[in-house]
Amino acid sequence: MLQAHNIVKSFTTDTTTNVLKGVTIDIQQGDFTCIVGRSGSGKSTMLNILSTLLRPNSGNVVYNGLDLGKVSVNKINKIRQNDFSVIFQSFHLFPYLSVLENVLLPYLSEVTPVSKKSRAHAMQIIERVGLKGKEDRLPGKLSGGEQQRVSIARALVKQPKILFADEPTGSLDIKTGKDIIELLKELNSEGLTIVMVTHALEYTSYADTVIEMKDGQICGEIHEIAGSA
Amino acid sequence: MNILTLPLKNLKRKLLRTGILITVFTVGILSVVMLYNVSETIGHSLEKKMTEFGANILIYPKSDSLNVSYGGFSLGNLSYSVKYLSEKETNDSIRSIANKENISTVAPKLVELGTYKEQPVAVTGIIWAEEFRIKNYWALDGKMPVNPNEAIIGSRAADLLGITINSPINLGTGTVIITGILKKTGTEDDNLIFADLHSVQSLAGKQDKINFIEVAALCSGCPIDDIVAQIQSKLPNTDINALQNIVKQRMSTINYVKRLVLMVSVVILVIACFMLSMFMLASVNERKKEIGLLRAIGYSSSKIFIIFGFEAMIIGIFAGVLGYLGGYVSSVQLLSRIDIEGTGHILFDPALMATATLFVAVLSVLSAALPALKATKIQPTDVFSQI
Repeated sequence: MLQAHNIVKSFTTDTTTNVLKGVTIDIQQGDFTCIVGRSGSGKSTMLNILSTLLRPNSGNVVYNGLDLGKVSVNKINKIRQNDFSVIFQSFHLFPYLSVLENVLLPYLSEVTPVSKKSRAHAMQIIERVGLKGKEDRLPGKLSGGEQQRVSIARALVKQPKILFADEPTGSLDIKTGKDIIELLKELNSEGLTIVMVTHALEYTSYADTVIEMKDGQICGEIHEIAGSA
Repeated sequence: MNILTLPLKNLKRKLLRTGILITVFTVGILSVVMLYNVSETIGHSLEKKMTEFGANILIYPKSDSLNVSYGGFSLGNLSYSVKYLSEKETNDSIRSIANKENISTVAPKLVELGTYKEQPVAVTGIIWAEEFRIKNYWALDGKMPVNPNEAIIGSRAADLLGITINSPINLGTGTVIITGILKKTGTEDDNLIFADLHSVQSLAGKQDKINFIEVAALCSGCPIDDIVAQIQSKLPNTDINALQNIVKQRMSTINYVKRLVLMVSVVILVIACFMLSMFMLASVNERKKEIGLLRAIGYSSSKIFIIFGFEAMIIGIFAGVLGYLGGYVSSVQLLSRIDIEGTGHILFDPALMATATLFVAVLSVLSAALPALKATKIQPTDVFSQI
């Protein structure tokens, strides 16, 4: 479904840092893939490249046969709108929008008003992530776990093909973090492909595939481990 | 809910900042509208006052022979084969041109020869009210004529001919009595006798006839050449002279006031736009994470531009409406306090308000263009990138 071939990425500030040194990853449809590694190992950079938020220096990312390095900006925007979704450690909710408005954010990019159908779908998603009755609240009135659920609902509202999660439990306590991972696992079991970056090894037991990174390279890959949690 | 929800909610969230920004922009627009209204009224008033120092258009019958001068104007031939204009027809024609609002004074004249103790004297028939409007500088010894058979005389003519107050001047079938002597004007008026036009016409047996007409036209907003052309089309059998030097002098004074106001207005608008631009730039820097997230969920750079452009446009619309209303009220109040003639000319014009608001809205969007463009360059990984 999504393949990254020989990805190289470096950042230059005062000096050049080679973050990814020829990484190859193959994400299968319906998989729950976990990318683990220590800070600075390049896992978040890899996730950003896979989710089109970042372009590699070399190598290519192919999504359903489409080389993402060769498509137009408009096409990338369409993929971000309809096929890929990203959730972050810091939720990145809009503090002045209600839960419902935050969830509907992907629909608010048009001048035409959000349809009743989209609104109803957003309400279903809110219910699905366990926030029924809280749709009119502002994010500031929610707990950390609830805020992450809002960001998951926002990521799901356009029914993406792949959900990318960058340290989704990083700002949460252990119990809330576990709840969020279980929610992601439920979504995965309903057919959603998930790629998650984490340094919390306890969550790898929920994954079908675990990829371990070190110093910008893959140092280990384990398949079919889900269910052992 | 649509793309405009984001800028609207953001403005509402930062109510104090939005209020300050709208206030600053409103004060700028208010100042410009007030300056414009005041300068227009003062310009109009100034021009009206300047018409008191002479006419700027002279109309006389077509002539192709000897020219006679009067008050700096060429009068055509008065001595040989004299031609006349119809007072009523000429007056009506001038008052009915397209730019009739610009006609301030129409002063017709008939020059007839009379005698004083067997000496020939020129008696000029005038309409007192119209003449005083263009010769506000006249001052005299004695009293102004009250009755139709009374007249005044220029100081030089009085000295040379030995005419004093109560002297009778023979004219046609009757006489006119001198009631006042004009103080020295330094013009041809010093050599002439002035009497009521209709009395002169009656005594000379030339009812409705005049030799020429002096016209004072207000030239702001309409070039003198246009007014001359319009009169010429109504009066094809006349020669019309525009005193371009007088017009240019007046217009340069008025234009100076207008240019000054324009410059001040431009400075005010530039400062207001700069402040809006700075506010928007601060807003972009403050909302980098929001912009990054929007890009991550597929908002194109044009959509990001729309969000910030619309925010600026809303500020512009509020400032445009409030600034226009405030400027209108302030200028009326200011002009009524300094007692300038023509305050009534400032009319509330909804169409002008709509145009001004549209202009301010466009100006606001242009002011926000650079910060908005900066926002479009922000990428998700710029704001939440981790290795």
